[in-house]
Amino acid sequence: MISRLSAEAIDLGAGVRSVLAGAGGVELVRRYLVDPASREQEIESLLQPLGLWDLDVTDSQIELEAAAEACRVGGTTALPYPIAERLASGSAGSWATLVDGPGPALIAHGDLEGPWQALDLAGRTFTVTGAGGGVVGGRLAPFLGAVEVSTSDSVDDPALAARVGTLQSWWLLGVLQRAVDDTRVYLTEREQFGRQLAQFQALRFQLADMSVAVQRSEELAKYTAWSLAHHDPSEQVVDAIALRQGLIQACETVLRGSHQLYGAMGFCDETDVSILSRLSHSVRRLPVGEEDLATLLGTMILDRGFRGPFATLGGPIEARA
Amino acid sequence: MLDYTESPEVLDLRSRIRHLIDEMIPDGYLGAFTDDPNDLKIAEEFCQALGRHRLLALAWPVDFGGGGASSWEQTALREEMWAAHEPRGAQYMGINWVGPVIMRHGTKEQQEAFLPPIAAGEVIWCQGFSEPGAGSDLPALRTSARRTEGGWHINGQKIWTSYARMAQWCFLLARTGAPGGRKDGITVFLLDMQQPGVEARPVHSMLGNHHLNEIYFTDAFVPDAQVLGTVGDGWSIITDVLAFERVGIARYARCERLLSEAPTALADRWQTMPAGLVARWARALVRTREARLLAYKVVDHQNQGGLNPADAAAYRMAVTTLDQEVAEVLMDLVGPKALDARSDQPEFQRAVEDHWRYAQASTVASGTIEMQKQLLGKKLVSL
Repeated sequence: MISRLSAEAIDLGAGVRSVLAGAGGVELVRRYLVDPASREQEIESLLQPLGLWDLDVTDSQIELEAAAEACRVGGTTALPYPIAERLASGSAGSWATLVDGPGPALIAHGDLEGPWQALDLAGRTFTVTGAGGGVVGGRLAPFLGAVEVSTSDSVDDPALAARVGTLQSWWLLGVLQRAVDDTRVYLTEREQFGRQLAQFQALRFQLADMSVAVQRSEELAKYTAWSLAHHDPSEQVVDAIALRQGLIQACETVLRGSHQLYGAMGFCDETDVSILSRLSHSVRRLPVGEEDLATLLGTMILDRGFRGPFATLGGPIEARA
Repeated sequence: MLDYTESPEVLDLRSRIRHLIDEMIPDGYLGAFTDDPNDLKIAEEFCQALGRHRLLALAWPVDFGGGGASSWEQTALREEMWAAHEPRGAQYMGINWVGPVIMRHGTKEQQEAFLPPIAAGEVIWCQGFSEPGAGSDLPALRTSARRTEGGWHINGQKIWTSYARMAQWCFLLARTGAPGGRKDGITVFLLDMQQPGVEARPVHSMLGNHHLNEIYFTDAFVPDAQVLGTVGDGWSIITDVLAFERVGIARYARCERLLSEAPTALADRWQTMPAGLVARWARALVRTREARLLAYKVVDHQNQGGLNPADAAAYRMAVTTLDQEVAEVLMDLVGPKALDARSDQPEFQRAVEDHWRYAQASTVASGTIEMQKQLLGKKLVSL
């Protein structure tokens, strides 16, 4: 077993990191908060030379890993662009997003025109109209758009739903990793009572809990990316939902922890943690919240199983060992 | 590139172990240390069978009578044993670290005397580390070793010692240097438990029989030939012991097994299980998968020669809290009947009760979770 990404993925991630850092990192978000419409062209052009938009995640595990790593690095700057949604559809060229069924819906980056297509978490496909009508979200979702979702004649595509969910989770993983990293640095810089905050054991313990939450999510994210390249779509969907649930639960530990350890500074938009926390919500809350997600996951596991050395449940997934 | 495929060797090993368990371990077996003395006998016979199949010392180098298994086979063995309520009983300790530490630090004579009985499943060791005044702060230990003709006299008290009343040997830490010397002046002794100066008493606990004991040493004797390593330099050996314990028990394996069995085992009750409880069950399965993957990351990095102790601490934090979280979920899934531990009650229900009790010790035993947080937290802020 190998729990390390391919060299190609790491190289592409380094390229994305370098380009985003050169363009200002999280500063990009602050600029686009003022002028959201300008981000589509600028970010697309920024990442174009890296060959990002030529990746076909349906083609090979290497390309899937590379796309995942690119999304993660994007998350470390809370990149306000549908990078996961665009990379998920591969050569199909659409922007795939997740919804909770037909009707009015809120989707991340729905202020941009697309070309959007929508799926529910199980992979039923829908048509999206009305995108590009501007931002409707508030401070917790400054790049949120309102759209209309209607039933579609297209066949179900559970594998695509799993890819969107997984790549969005990788983006969120980047957000969380950056939050832990920044908080770690802050504890060594800030002094109170004549000492670095890092000298206080209670604060180090909270940081350790945050770090473990992120490490758990990272390993789950890697497994899920691998699963998408090796298992049936019905299992991919379960794994992608499990990953999303894991990441959302980690958000509570990590971002709540960052806010607490930063004190009042953590609420100020001049700190990156505030931006990261605000932008996390369009993945954390959409298309359904954590409780609904865990309930759906329970139903799906009962029906389809959950792979592991001691799994005994479910029909379609072959038992394991 | 990522790869989570289990090799044919690992799959074959799992199948051989499961076959042996099916053959030798009765249904409803909850480990060696229940109120039924027959369970201990089953564990002894199982260990000897594992020894015959060269599965007991699977991880040991071939030179020492082991199976020379890969780290992934060792991982699978740990998982299979813990998922089946550790049918090796007390012997996993001799295999996991007492033997390997004697391989690294023992004389040729010590290796010849002590390793074969461990590999054959014929001997039980206990660990004489903690004392009433030295728990997490192990360097505060006060048990003393005083020079005498041909060896050492041991005086003092150890506590929380698992298996002390059944062990033939004790891997003992005692102070040969000046009192209060902290890490200096500690020596490792391989002490024969069957002698008049050693008295082991049970400490009755929620964990069950044999898990906790105390040992009193009154001029207990250890010959010079049974000093492990250099007199006064025992702390370097302890560091090694902790390295062997870095991954530790595969607690996630039993969690996964019990969670997976729950819907079938609780078939009638499951029909009316509240949706919120099913959601907690699903979350627990996700947490379990995460802990397993963290263990695999540690093993993978160890194979690359790049083990970071902070990674191991993170895994220990994740897996020990998982054990307790899953214990709570399982107790709620079973409901009030979980408290009825009569032997005629359903196997799953009794397993859940047993698991909850034992899980309480997971964040205390083999290094408290606070020590793990201390290690990881310090590492994180040392920029």
